[in-house]
Parts: sequence; structure tokens; C-alpha cells
Amino acid sequence: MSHTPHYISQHGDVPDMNVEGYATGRDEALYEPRALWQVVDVPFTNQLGVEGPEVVLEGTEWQNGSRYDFVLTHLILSPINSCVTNDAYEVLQNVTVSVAHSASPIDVQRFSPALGQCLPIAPSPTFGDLSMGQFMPYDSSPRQVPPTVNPRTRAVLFAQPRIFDVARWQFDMPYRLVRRGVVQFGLSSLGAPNLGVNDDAEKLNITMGFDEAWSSGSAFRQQMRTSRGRLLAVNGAGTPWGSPLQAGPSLDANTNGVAWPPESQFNPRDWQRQETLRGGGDGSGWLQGFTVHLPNNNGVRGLDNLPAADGYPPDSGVSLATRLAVRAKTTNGGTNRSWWRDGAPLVLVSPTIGAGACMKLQTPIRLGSREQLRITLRSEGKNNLLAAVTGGIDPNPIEQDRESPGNHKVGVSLTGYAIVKD
Amino acid sequence: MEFQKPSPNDLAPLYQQYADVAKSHIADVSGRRYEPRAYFQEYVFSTDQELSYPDTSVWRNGEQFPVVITHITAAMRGNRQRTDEQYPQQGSPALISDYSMRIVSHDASYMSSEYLPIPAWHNRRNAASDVFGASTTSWIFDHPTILGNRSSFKVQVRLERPPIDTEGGASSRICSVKFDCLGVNTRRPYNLGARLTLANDGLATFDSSKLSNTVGEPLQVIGVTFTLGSEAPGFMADITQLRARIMVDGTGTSQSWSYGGGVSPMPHEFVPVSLLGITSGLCVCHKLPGKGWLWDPGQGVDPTLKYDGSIARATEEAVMLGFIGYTVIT
Repeated sequence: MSHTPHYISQHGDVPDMNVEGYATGRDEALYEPRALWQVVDVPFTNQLGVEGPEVVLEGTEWQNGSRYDFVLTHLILSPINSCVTNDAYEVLQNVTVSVAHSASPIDVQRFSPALGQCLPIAPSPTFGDLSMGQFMPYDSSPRQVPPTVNPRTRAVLFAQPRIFDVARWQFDMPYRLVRRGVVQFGLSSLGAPNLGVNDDAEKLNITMGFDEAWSSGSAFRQQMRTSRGRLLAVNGAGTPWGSPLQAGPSLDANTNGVAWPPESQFNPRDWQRQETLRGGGDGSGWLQGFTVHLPNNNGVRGLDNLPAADGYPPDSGVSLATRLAVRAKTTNGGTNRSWWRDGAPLVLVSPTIGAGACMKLQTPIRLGSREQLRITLRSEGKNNLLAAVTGGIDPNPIEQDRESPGNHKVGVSLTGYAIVKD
Repeated sequence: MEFQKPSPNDLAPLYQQYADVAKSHIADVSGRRYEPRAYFQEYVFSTDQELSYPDTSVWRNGEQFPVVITHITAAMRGNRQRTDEQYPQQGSPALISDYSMRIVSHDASYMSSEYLPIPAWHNRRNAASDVFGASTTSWIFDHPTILGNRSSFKVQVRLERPPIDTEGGASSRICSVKFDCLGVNTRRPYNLGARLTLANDGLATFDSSKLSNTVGEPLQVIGVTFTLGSEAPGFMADITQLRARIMVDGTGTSQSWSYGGGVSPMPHEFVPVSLLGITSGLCVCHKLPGKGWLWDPGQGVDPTLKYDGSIARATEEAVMLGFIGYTVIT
């Protein structure tokens, strides 16, 4: 399967893509993952058919501040700091988003069919094949087989990441990492649901893994560098859903007071200890992507201990992806720059498997140095939502918001890669 | 640093032969035929068991033809004791987060020398809509297989346990199977489908006449879909309760497409269909890098599973592991 960004191909720069998960590359460029993101409050009027005010996102958050071009391939929207229930995601049903390239009017025209107009975001877990085809145009057809006989369901919903508690980004391009290169990757400590089962529910053993492939060496050409058993410092007190996620520097204002606790970071020594996994050749490996596993099964095993009327979802674990911040950068290799602004919610950098609503752009956006994007979010009136979670626990703050006009915290991101080429 | 693109000559023998095998996706111009294969094993964990070592001979290619493994799948076994099928505590698919896996072959580890949580292997989207995701499995083959004229599928199914009356107000399950096909000559799409009612956990066979090629040309079979429902409106049955065996009468090897083991009182060829859901289904799905692994006869790997949870299990649990691919009939 090949992917040829139309916009790039006009410049004769068509790198091999990493769809099948095997490291390839035909040029000397380095492709380093990148994401632009922001978390904002989207106001709802709570009146049917009455649009809320536009929320315009622009500025440094959406500017390419580096000297290298960005290619952005996926758009992600997600409720932030919410319980992953069907209702929570319905917040997004009435949100529209548009993306405009501010640098060149020509580019705006070029992107208008795909990007210049508002795209309906309908990530309800109950929507069907057709709307999903519009929203999630991943290539799902088998090779050379007419799509009319393709039985594959295109609907890609939230059930699976919710059940399996995984968030994953399979990079668009393999990221070449030289020998002794280290990716500094870690999660922050933000509030987590207190399932009330036992203390273990507040201690999560997380797994962070990076798939890495190489060209020669052992029989298996792909390994995963992993960091396991890290105790994630979470806040077990207060409301079940913790305090709202704040964007930017105020992220540090966590009740635990530790934004990046060492126990939830990928230890560089662990990274280098697994250096020997690499094969021969010049020692370079190609990172294929990363996976974060956030098990929260105590809630499942303890299901019988919770009154059913409490409404606790047995699979609430992946809601942590909307509540945990993540950062990444490379040292001893790459650009030595952060892959995204530190503190992005994990869900906003998980375009492959995640709890967010993700759309693969029909035409990737190429964002040159110092160019920027303008994102416009708009809500439409009333959410046709069910009543708040009731029972013996505090309702989700988002559910409370729905009862009256108010804001909904929504995260939006564009993910892709930087072309590092001198 | 000099960048070197991997070349076919650099590939290890495991992949080297595959480069030749995988040239044809649709047309059977090479003279080779492809037939889907699914190897599976149940890893049963008693209440105090940390590791499970079932018979690993399942993970060997026991046929005379080479086999290409393209996907690894895993799912919790549907529980047979619980009465609430919607959220069976000990059969919940989410419990797979408590289990880790390691795969070793010839002293080389795949992915990691450490045990990795099974969900961390999940690298391919295969989630279906919530509307039917829990009751459907869809498997599009990497290589279509040929169903010759007047040949037919022989598909048998069994439930893990008898249906319970209280589940959706129905005491039986409706199972359906559908094969998606293309005419070799006309490129016309065909669907071969059948359904039957399962009132208990006994063996049931679909009507082969509905799964026969009677269209006058050979068919390329590109995928199969199983569903499990009931007559109760809006009720989704649990697809993890269903096992199946697929054979072709008249074309190919006439062997079962699946082979496995475990302590389950099932014939060893009845694969849990949830493990087949590499296209859409309720299973962890790991796509192997590149074109997959080529197993010559006798070759294979040794996967082991481990319990990583922090809470004692109340009852026995079982993880079902599947290796999905195809055999190349030369």
C-alpha cells in the first residue's frame, strides 16, 4: 500500500510511507513526528438550531516554528477530561471544524474541497458506515478489489481502544533513529477516575513501547523498546474525573504537584539498555510508531462490587487518554526538538488507535517554516443528550454542562511529520 | 551517516522466500493457490496460575505446503458460566489487559524479550461499529482463494455454551456466514451466504447448497463474515461464544482452514471466530511487519502467556491466541 501526498508529489518529494509497518526509505531525509494541538472551550447555546460563537485558533500553537516543513496528515478531535461514555462523545456531534492555510491564498483554494469548508464531525459510537466513510476515509479496501464487494466495515469507533486500553500512533513515515539516539517520552500526572474498588485502582502499570525495525540482523526485523511497570502518579481524591485539563503552562497545576513524575517517563537507560535489540548495518533503526497501554481492569474485575446503578463504565480506562499529558523529543539524533508542545493530551497524538475522533486528510497539509494554520470550531445549538450519569457517584462535569448553556472542553490536533532535510 | 535502504538480498530467509510468493494478489496466474489458515490455542489460567504452557505444537506448520502468517490475534474466551452475556465479568474482553505475551523462535524474541501486555501488540484498527461490533467478525484474506465450479464450502459451527433464555428474551441464536466472492472471468461480485438457528451447543452445519459455486465460473473468495444474533429485537449476541470450522469440498486441500488446541471440549479444528476478526472484530490484532512470516513445513514459533494482573481471579480464565494467514499450494 502506498501513499502519495498530492501536494508533496508536485515538488518531486515522494517518500515511501510506512503503512505496512516495514522500514523503507528512498531518500536522505529524516521524518520526525510532529503534532500541533490545542485544548479550548467550545461554547454551546443550548438552543436548537442556534449556532454558538466561532472559536478561532491561530497563533503560535498552529505555527510551524521550525526551519523544516511539516506535512500534516490527520485531524483529531476529542472531548478532554471526560469519561468515555457514548454521551461524552456526543458533545462532538454538533461541533464543526474548518482548517485554513493562512500563508497562501492559493493553498486555501487548493485545499477548499477537503479543508476549506466545515467538516461535520459525527463521532457518535452509533453512527454507521456511510457517515464513517466521510469522516474516517482510511483505505480499507483490499488490493484490486472493487469496493462494492468489500465487506469491511469502515466504522472505526471507540469501542476497541476503550476495551483494550491502548493509544497508538503508527507514524506516517518511519523515523530513522541513529545508534545511541534516544527518544525521551513520558506522561504527566493528571487526575484519574477513582473507581473506588481498592487502592490498586489508583496505581496504574503503564506500558510505553516504540516499534523499531531495521534492515539486517536477526530473523525478526522488528522489535519494541518498552518501558513497563511505571507507576503513574494519579490523583485519587476529589471528583471521579479529577480536575479539568488545562492547556499550556498551567498544566503543572495538578493536585499532585508533579507534572512529569519520573516513574511515568520512559527511562533513557531503559531505552539504551535495549539498544542491543537492533540488527546490523550502520546501527540505524526505523521507529514505526509508539503504543501506550493504560490498563484499568480493576474496574472490570471489581464490577460486581459496584452497584450497577452507579453507571460506572467497566471500560473507563482509556478515558485516561483524554486526561493524561504526553511529551516526546529525541536526543542524540533527529532535531533535538520536541515533537509537539509538551503537555498534549495523549488522545490528541494517537491518530492510529485512540479514543478521539480522527480523520485522515484527503490531502495532507504542507506547512512551511513560519507558516501557520487557522482552525475554526463552531458548535450548533443544543446537544440532544441523555440525562447525566446518575447514581452514587458524582456526575461527569461535562454532563452537568449540558444542562445549561456552557462550554465544552474540546481538544483538536493535526498530526504528521517534519521533513528534516538540509 | 549513510542511509541504506533494505534490499531483498538483505532479508533473512524468513522473508526472502516470501518476496517471490507474494507477487500475485488476485489473479492465479502463477499457478499457485492460496488457502486461508488460522492456528489457535487456548491458554487457560486457573485461579492461581501465573504462566500457561499449553501444547505448542499448534504453532508449527504441520502441512506439506508453506504457510505465511500475517496477523496475530488474541481475545478472551467467552465465559460459559455467567448468565449475563452483555457484561460477563470473567469473560469481558477488557480483561485481556491483564495478560502478557512473549514470542520466541530459535532463541530470538519477536517484539521484545520481555512479556508485553497483549493490548500493546494491537497495531491495526479492526473495530466495528458498536451497533454490531460485538456480534460480528469479518476476515478479508490477504490472498483470495479459489472456489471452483460446483465446489462448495462446508461450514460447521458450535456455541461455547447453550443460549440462556434471559439473554435478550430469546432461547436461541441465529448464526450467519457470508463469503464475498468475485467471478474469475466476469469480475462480477457474488455473495454466498447461509444462516441457521442454534438452540444449544451442539454441532450445526450450514446448508452447503447455499454455499456452493453454481454460477458457472470459478470464484475468487476474498473474505468471510460471521454474525451471531437472535430473534429478539436489538439484541447482539456475543461473537466470542461462537466457534467454526471451514472446509472446501472440491477445490484446494479440502482440509480445515483452522487448526488448534486447548482444553475446551471442542474439536481441535473449531476456531473461535472472534480470532478471525483481522478486518473487523472484537480481538487484539497485530499485523506482522512486511509481508509476514513464512513457515516452511515444521517451522513455527513459541508464544507464552503470563498473567500480570494484581487482583486474584475468581474463576478460571482463558486467553485465546490466533495466528492468521494462508497456505501456499504449489
